[in-house]
Amino acid sequence: MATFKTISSADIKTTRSVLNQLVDFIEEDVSGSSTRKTFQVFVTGTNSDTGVTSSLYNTVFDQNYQLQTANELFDITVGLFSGSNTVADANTGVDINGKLLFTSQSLMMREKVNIYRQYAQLLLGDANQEFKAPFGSSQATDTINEALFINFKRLFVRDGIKRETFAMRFFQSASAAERVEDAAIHALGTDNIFRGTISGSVIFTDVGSAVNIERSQTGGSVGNLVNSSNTSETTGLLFYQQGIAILDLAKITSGSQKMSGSIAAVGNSNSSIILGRSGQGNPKAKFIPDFLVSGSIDDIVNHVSSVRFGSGSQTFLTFQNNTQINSTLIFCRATADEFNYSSNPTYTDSEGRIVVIDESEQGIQKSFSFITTVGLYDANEELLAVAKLSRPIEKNDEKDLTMRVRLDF
Amino acid sequence: MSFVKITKNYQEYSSLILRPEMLYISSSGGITGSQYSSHVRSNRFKDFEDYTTTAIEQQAGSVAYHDEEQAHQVTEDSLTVTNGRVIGLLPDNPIYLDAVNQSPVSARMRCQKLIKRIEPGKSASFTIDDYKKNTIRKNLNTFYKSKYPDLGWHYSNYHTINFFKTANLPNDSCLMYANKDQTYTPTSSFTLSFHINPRYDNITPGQEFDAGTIFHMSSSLAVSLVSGSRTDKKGLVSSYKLLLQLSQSADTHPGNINLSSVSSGYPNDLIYLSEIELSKNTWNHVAIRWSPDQNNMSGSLIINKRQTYFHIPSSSLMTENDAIILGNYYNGNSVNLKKYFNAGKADSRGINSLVGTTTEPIGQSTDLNSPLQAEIHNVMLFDHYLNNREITFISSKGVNNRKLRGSLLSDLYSKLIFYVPPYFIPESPQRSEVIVSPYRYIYNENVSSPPLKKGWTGPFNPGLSFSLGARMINLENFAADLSIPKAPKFPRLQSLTGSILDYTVDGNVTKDNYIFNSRFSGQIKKRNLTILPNDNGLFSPDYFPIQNSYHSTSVYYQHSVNSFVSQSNNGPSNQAVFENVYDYSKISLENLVIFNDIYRAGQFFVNEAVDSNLGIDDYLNHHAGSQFRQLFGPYNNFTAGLSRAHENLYAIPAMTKDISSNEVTIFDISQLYYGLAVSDFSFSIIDDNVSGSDGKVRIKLKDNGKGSLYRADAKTRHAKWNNVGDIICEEGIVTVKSPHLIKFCKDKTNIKLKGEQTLHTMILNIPVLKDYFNSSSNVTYVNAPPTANKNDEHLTTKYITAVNIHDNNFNIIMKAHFSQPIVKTEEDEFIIRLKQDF
Repeated sequence: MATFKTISSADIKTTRSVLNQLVDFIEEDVSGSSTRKTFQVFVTGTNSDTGVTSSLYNTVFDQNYQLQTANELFDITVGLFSGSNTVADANTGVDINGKLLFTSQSLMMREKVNIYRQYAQLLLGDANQEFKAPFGSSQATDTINEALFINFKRLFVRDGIKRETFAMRFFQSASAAERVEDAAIHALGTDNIFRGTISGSVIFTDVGSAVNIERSQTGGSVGNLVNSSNTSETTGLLFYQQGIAILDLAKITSGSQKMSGSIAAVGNSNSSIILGRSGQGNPKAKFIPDFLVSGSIDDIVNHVSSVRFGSGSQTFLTFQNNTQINSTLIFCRATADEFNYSSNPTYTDSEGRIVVIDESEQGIQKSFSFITTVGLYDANEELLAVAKLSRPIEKNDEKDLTMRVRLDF
Repeated sequence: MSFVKITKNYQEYSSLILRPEMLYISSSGGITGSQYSSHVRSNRFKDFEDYTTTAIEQQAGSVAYHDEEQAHQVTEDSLTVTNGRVIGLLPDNPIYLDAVNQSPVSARMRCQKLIKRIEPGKSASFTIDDYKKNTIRKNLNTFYKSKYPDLGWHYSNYHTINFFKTANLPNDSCLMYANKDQTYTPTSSFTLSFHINPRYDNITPGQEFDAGTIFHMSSSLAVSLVSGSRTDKKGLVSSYKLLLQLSQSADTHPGNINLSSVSSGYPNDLIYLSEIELSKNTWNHVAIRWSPDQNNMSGSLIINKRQTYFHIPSSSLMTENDAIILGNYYNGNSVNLKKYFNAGKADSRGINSLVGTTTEPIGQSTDLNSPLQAEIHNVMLFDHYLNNREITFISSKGVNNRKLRGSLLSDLYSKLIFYVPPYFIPESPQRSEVIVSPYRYIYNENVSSPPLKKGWTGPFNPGLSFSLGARMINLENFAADLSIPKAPKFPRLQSLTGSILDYTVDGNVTKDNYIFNSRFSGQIKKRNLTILPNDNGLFSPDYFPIQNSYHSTSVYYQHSVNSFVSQSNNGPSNQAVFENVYDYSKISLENLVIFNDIYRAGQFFVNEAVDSNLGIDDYLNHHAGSQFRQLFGPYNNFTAGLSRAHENLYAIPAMTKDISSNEVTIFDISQLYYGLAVSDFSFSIIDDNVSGSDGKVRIKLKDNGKGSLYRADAKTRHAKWNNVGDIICEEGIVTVKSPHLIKFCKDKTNIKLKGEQTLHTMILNIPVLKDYFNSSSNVTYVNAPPTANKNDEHLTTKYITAVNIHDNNFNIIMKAHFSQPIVKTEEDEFIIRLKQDF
């Protein structure tokens, strides 16, 4: 115990390493209602209906979110670019305060636009700017007009997503709509908005992003998400440090597919709109623009989450994260003549007496010790850190030891 | 954006101590309350490789085992190789998602820290458990002695005699004290005193609670415990009465007495039932006294100072009799009773002989068929009628030789004719059947000066413990009648002795089989559970009998006061360095056997030159003259025969160089369960079914806030000073040292505790003055008034969404985001309070 030695700066080194974790999100996480939490803060309605409530986003958990041990996996929502045709076609003007006005068949259009603007503000530094995939493209056709946003939680992203590890399985088509509109495909009478899809999935990945490194001024490093079966087809963006994936719904889905079913609406006594059925509501409704314009964010997210990712125990999305480990290595050197004695009260001889070296016997009597612990002190001799050896090391005047103490933080 | 300097005036600091409660139950049904290594867990984290199915876990033999260091190493290694699973696959590979799906959940997420239960010294090899035990014994106990003064390898000398009844154990067990020369027979007046706790009930509602006799002298005095009038909410007996039988009425079996009308004509005219009821699981003091000279030959049955009077016109109630029986009723004749103390048993068990024959009595199980179901202690019989003041004194202080104020006697001890506290004494009867191994007796001899009987001297059998790792309590050393301190009288331990096995019949037994599953297990199990730690806090024992015995300077009562001198394993020679402090309230668990020089490394004697390639079995097999044969005594096949075991050479100390008690149970609790320390007074541990008790004996231990564990089962005040174990709160180390707590919590561990964790809070008050924070550098900033009202049109609106805390060099060291933006105009002024816990 308690032999002190000053450690010079030459014996202190710092390093940085990266630890990776593999993250696996399961289809049933996102498809199930008990693992996907809604936050219904949006309320609207008229005198002639019961009104509509909706979230601005949903949060997906790894188990029933009512359990205390549930962890948030990611948030999911949709947004519309204010300059897109989808917005322009539904837009009926602007009021004196600059507020966008929309047709009565639409729902939450301003919220969808504002969500897009918020992401643009965060990731591009300008709320009015549009996302383009590939990142930095100047082509108008590369604009993401209808976006699916997925924010991965920091618990899983840590210090960032590792490049070229992201993959997401996605069903481009919903199941077939009613025969009236898709007669050749499916039997009569089935709504497809909330009916699971069983075939037609593709995998979107960020393969190639390790080569083509892009950076956003405010969003950090960016990669392009591509169709794994055709890597020239860019379908979205992945912001690695922010842990945000943006997917172009026009490219990852069959936007022209007919949609059938009932969704929440205002302005009629049923408080709903019937899509895709002959003679009712909007019989020729398509995913884009009709469903995205008329559906609430909850309806759209619910459709995407429950239909497009599958609902089994398979992996639908995975990536690896990065955790940066900063390490300080301190080399504690014990030369031949150092640390050979102990002031421990149990440092006794066979008769129970404290071991001493007689002054005249220094050449003959030699002490040895067993080193068990290294204490690191600051300049004021305050104990800062303690390192325990896995087993005691014998030290005598014939041994020169260096103990490497590593502090990770 | 603006910068404001946060001076000390704007900073607040406070600290809280949090004491979260934790309940941990581990049994064959599973574990609840276990803590995970990772405080945030999700099975959505996967490992690149299934490390837990590799040799790491297989070596540990535990599914829950996870070696952090090795796992980390494997992770790093795996990252550098392409192993055909996730690593090496690019995400556009069609099997990538499937490979991820099939990968195991991260071992780090699954890793649990369980509370480890350790029983050291259970094999003839040095194990990590032995290392942990001695780290606690030598290092931690020494280090924390200043905070917890009672730390040490000892336990308190304060016990009860426990009698219980089950279908699978012998029910004729009891303590039988030979009344040789009528030394136990009072001349005329008498007082019987004892403490009793009726812990046991009838188990099944409606089932009869059989009368159990506490104290019986034939034709003189019998006191039994019978059921009372109350039942608990489960319908079980919850109150009891005492049945007193005097003179000739003491010969009527208590089971044959009608409790609704106890007294009838002669010979059953002297039977009395207490008016006062004893509550279940409470300690009660009972005194029974009578004298022909008191109040016209009246007496009383006193329970907790409340009396039931009786009047018996007689000159004496006592006749000559043969024995005092504790814990059962003798239902036979005098001739047969004397045979319990025949010459054969006198030789083999070292008890007083009443007849010269060696014939054992017949019908023992029918002679003794009214077993007590209760715990008792401090059983005293006086040849004197004690007055109220004297009874009050002995009910709380016991007895000694000092003059008591208010007493006509010079001292109470001089009138004491029978006294079983029970105290541990380092002496047991001289006898031919001292068990040294499951296959062998040894014969012990007396020591002439001082005249001691020297069987086993410690609290448990060292032969079994140090050679086999088995536990057998030396009941003889606890059950002595100490009415004459220098001449203790030992009882016949009826169905409480056990016996040795025949190797040719029983074969080679394991330690647990000998104690729990052999032909004699019933007796051994009951013997082991007859002495239990005492939780009666209404009584303070006086160790006068030990202080005035020949054992007053025994090593078992000798305790070090110098915490910096470790108690060495090197034998008596080193004890000279201790301060000679004797404390009879503690039984030392150090130096339980002589440290034989043969244990020292390099001193084994073998016939041939030591061959390093030979193992122990080789020596045992081939080196006939090797001292290994004796040294490793009864531990294996080769030495199981009668001639092989040795009473002074033991296998386990030979390996561990440790002659302190291994009959302890250690619980190693990870810091994850308590944080900085286990909170004082918060710890409790329960064994619902102490091994060998058939579910009858339940023991609960609690901590007394000073590092000691005490028994805490009774509903009355506990003896918090009665140390049966230690807890070092800062280390999460719990040591149950009392050897009477057999295999404590082996089948089920039930631990409750409160942890301690300090929570420091820093509050920063950030002044948002009206002249500050009035501009935004955000590129999307629009200069707009807060409302369209005329009175606001000169104002501009800022939405504050976040606060950054910078250090002196303007590095951002903390960030706070608001749940919703705060509106700020040139006229607004407020304070933002940021709170950071750490």
